Amino acid sequence: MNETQSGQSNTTRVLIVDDDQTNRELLRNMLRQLTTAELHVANDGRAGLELFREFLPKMVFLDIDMPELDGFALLDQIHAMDNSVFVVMVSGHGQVEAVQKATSQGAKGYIVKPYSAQRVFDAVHRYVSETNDHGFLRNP
Amino acid sequence: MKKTLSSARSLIRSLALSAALTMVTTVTTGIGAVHAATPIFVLHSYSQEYPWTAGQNEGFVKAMNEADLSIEPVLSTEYLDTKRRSYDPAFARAMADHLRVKYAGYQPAAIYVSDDNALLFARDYLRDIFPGAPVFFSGVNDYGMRGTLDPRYFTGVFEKKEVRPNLEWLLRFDPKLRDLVFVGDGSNTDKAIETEARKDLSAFPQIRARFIGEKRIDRIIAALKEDKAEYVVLTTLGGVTDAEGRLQPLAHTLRMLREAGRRMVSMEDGYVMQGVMGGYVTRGPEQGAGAAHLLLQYLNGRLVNDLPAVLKSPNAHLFDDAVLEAHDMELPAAIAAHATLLNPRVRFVDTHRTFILATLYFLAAALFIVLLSGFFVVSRKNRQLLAAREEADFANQAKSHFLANMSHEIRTPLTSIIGFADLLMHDKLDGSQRAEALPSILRNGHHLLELINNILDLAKIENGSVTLEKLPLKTGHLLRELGALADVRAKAKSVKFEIVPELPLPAGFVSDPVRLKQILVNFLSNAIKFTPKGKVELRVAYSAQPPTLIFAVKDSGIGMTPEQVGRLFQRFVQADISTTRRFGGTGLGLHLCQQLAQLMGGRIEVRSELRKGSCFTLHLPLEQVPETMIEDAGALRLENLVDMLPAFEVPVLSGRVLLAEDGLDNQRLISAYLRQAGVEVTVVANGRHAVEAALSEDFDLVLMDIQMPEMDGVTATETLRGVGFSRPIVALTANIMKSEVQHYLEIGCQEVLSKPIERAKFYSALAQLLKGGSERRQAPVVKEDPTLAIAFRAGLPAQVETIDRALVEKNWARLRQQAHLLKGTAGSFGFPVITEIAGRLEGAAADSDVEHATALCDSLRGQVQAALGEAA
Repeated sequence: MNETQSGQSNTTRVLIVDDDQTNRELLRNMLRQLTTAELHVANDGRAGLELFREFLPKMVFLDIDMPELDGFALLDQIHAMDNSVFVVMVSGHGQVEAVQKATSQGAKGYIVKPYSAQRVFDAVHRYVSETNDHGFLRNP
Repeated sequence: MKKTLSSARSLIRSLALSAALTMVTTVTTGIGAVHAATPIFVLHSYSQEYPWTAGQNEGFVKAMNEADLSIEPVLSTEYLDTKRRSYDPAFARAMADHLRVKYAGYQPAAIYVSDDNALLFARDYLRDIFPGAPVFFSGVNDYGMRGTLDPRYFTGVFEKKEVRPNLEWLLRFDPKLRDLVFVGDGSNTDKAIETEARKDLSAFPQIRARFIGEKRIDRIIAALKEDKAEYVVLTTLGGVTDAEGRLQPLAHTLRMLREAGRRMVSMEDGYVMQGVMGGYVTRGPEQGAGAAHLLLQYLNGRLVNDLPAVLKSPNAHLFDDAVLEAHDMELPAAIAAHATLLNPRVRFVDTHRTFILATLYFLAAALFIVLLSGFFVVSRKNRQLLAAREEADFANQAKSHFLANMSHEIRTPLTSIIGFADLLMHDKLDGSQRAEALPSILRNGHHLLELINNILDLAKIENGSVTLEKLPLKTGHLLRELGALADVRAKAKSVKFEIVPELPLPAGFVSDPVRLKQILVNFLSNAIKFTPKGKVELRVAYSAQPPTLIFAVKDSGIGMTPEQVGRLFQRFVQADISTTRRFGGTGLGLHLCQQLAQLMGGRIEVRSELRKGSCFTLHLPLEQVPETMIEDAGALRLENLVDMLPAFEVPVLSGRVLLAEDGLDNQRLISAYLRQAGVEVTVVANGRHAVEAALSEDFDLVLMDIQMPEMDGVTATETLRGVGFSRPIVALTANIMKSEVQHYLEIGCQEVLSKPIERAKFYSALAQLLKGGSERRQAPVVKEDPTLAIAFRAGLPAQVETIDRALVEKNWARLRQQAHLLKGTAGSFGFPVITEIAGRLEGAAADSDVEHATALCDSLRGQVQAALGEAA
C-alpha cells in the first residue's frame, strides 16, 4: 500500500515510513497542515526504500520498530544513496542507546511517540533553517 | 684588559679600513660599543611567559653577564608576540614604525633575536632602523632561511629538532614500539619538522608514524583519540588555540594532551612539564648562550664574517624522572649516563648489583682522592640534583604549612556550620536563637566558598590557565558597587568609609571587571578588617601619561613594619602569624591580587606605618585613551550606597523545567527554588533519564547537573543536541574552570551556573531563558483530522481484544508489540492514561510478568470503556 499525494514538481518531497496506519495518518495530517510538502507514505521498510529510490525525498520521517527492514537499516540504505537527506527517527521509546545510534547513523532528529505537533514543527523548522527551503513552511 | 681592548680596537680599525664601505659602518659601531655601557637591542619572536623564549633569554643574559669583558651590556628587550597573532607584512610594518618612533636616537652596538620571526624582522627592518648593528640569533630553524642572510651582518645558532635520536632512545626503551604519532600545531615549523621526520623515519621501517598538524586543540584531541599509538612526539605547539581560535597557554595544551593518556616525548626543553617524559631536546638556554658567545666575540673585535653560524644546536637528553616513574619506565643506563634528569627518583639498589659493586669501588677510589686532595668536588650533576632536592624540600615545606593552615581555615567555618545545623535539628530553639543560627550558617558558608575560590584562582594562575576578559565598564558603576560592599562591612564595626574621586575621571574603560573587583574588594576588606576604629577611604585618580587608573585604599588601622610589608605578597604568609588568629584570612588574598595585577599589566604598591595605617595602591594601565571624562562629582552619584546592595526578588515565572541532578539535597533545594517562582519541575537523577524525559515530554528548559552517575550531563547534552533538541539547557556544575565552562557552552548549553547556586543569578538566568522560550517559534494550531480520531476510537476495542488474546496465549512478543503500538498512538488522540498503561504493559510483556500484565490489561479495558463512553 504505497500512498502518494501528488503535488507540484518544485515542492519538497517528504517520505513517511511507519507500519502503523494511525501513526502514518497522524503524521501526514500534521505535515499537510504545517508544510507545503509533496507527501509520500510507505507502510513498511521495503516499501519505504522503493519510494525513496523513486522520489528521492529531501526529508524522511522514519519509524524504528518495523518488521523485516527496520528504521535503522533503512536509514543506512537511505544515507548510502544520499547522505544529505534530513532524516527524523520516530519511535515509541527514547532510550539513550537508540537516540545515540540514530545520531551516529546521521539522523538529524528523534521524536518519541506520542508527540505533539510542536515536535514535528520543531523538526520541520530545523530542516528549513538548515536548507533555506523557506517555501517548505505553510504560512511561514 | 684595557690593553687587549685597545689592541683589538686597532686591529679592527685596520681590518675595517680595508673592507667595504658598508662594513666600516658596522665596525665603527662595534668599536663605539666597547665602552662601559654597551646598548644591545633584543627582540624575541614570542613573549616573555613562553617557556622557550624565556629559556633562550635566560641563557643569553646569563652568558652576557658572565662575560669577562669590561663592558656592561644594557639590554632593551622587545617582543613580537607572534604566538598570539600571526606575523604578516602589515604587522611587521606597523611594528617597524613603532620601533622607529620609540627608539629614535638610540643606536645599539648589536642586536640579539630569538626564533624565526624576529630574525625575519631583523633582516627586513632592524638592519634599516639600527644601521650597522650586526644581528645574532638563536632558535632559528634553518629551513631555507640561511641563504637569505648576509653573512657580514648575521650569525647565530640554528636550531634543529632531531627526530632520529628520539626514535633511537624510544626503541631502546621499548624495542616492540610500532606505532607513533607526531602532534604539532600545523604551523610552517611543524610542517618542516614533519618533512625532516619522514626522512629520519625511513631508517625505521618497523615504525608506523602518523602526523597530526592542527591549530585547534579540540581537533588535536579528537584526532588523537582516533589513534592507538601509545607514544606521542610533540613537534611544536606554540600556536595551538582553543576551539574558538584563541591562543592558549602551552601548559594548558600540554595538560589537555596529558589527559588524553599517552606517553609524551618532547623535542624541545620548554615542553618538559605537565607530564611530558622528555626526550632528545633542543635547549633554549644553551642556544641563547651560543648567540651570546658569538656576540661577545664580535664585541671583542672579531668580524661577523669570521664567526660562522652554528648549524646544529646543542641538543641533549632531558627527562622528567617523576613522569617516567609514573609510567613505570626507567631510562636505560646508556642514556641515563649523559642525560639530565628532572625530579630524579630514589633508585632501588638491588636491581643493579654489578653497578653497585662498581660504584663501591669507585667510591673507595673517590674517597682516596678526596682525602688526598683535601677538597670535595661535587659534580655538576650532583649539584643539580642537590639543588632540585632542596627546591623540592622547600616546596614541600611550603605545601605542608599551607595544608596545615588551610585545614585550620576550612575547619573553622565548618565548625559553625555543622554546630548550628546540629542545634537547629536536635534542640528546640526559640525564634531569636534561630535568627542567630541561620545567618551564621550562611555567613560561614560564604566564607568557605571564598576560600575555595581563592585556592582555585591561584591554582589557575600557576598553571597558566587564566585568561583575562576585556569588557567595557563604567567607573560610576564600579565605585557604587565597591562602595555598597565596603559600606556595609565598615558600618558593622563603626569604621568610617568614604570614596574620594579625584576628578576628572574616565566615564568608562575596558578591563576584566571580575578580576579588577577581586583586587579592590580584597584591598577594601583588608583595610576594614585591620582597622579596629577610624577611617578607610578609596581614592580614585586618573593619569593620562600613559593612560592609567589609580585606585588607592587607605586606612588608619594597625599598620605594618617594613619587614612585614616585605613579606606581604608571599604566598600563604600574612604579615604576622598571630594575625591569622586575630583577624582570620587565608594569607592567599594579597598574593593572588598581585598575580592578577601583573596579569592585567598593572602593579600594586604598599605604604604602611606601624600603628598609623596602610595604603594599598593599584596602578591599572588602560589600553585605550578614554573617550569621555567625568568632570562633575554629581555624575558619579556616589550617595545612597546602601541602596545598591545586590538584592533579588523571587520572580514570577511559568513553564515546565526538567531538573537532572543526582544529589537528593540539591534536588530538593533547586526544586524549591523553582516552585517558589511558580515553575513546574520534573526531577530525574541521571543523564540517561534526562535524555529520555526530555525527548518524551515538552519541557521549556532543562537544568543539567554535569557530574551524574550512569551518564553525565555532558554526554546527555551532546546526545540531546545531536538529535536537534532545541530547548535551552543550563549546566549546573561545581567545576568553574573557564575552559570547562567554555566546553559546556560549546556542546550546546545556553548558560552555566556554578554550584553552590547563587539565587539571584539562578533566577535571572531562568527568567531570561524561559522568556526566550515563549519567543521561540510556536507551531500553528494543527486541526485534528476528525476521521482519524473516529477511526482510532472505533479501532480501540479490537486493539484491546488483540492484546487480551496475546496475553491469554502468553504470546509475549505479540503482546509487547501491540502494547507498544497503542502506547504510541493513544496519547496523540488525547488519551495519556491509556498511553501510560500501555507503556507499563509493554514493560510487563518484556519481563513475561503474567500477574502484572493481567492487572494492567484489566485497567486498560476499564480506561478504554471510559474513553469510548466519553466520546459517545
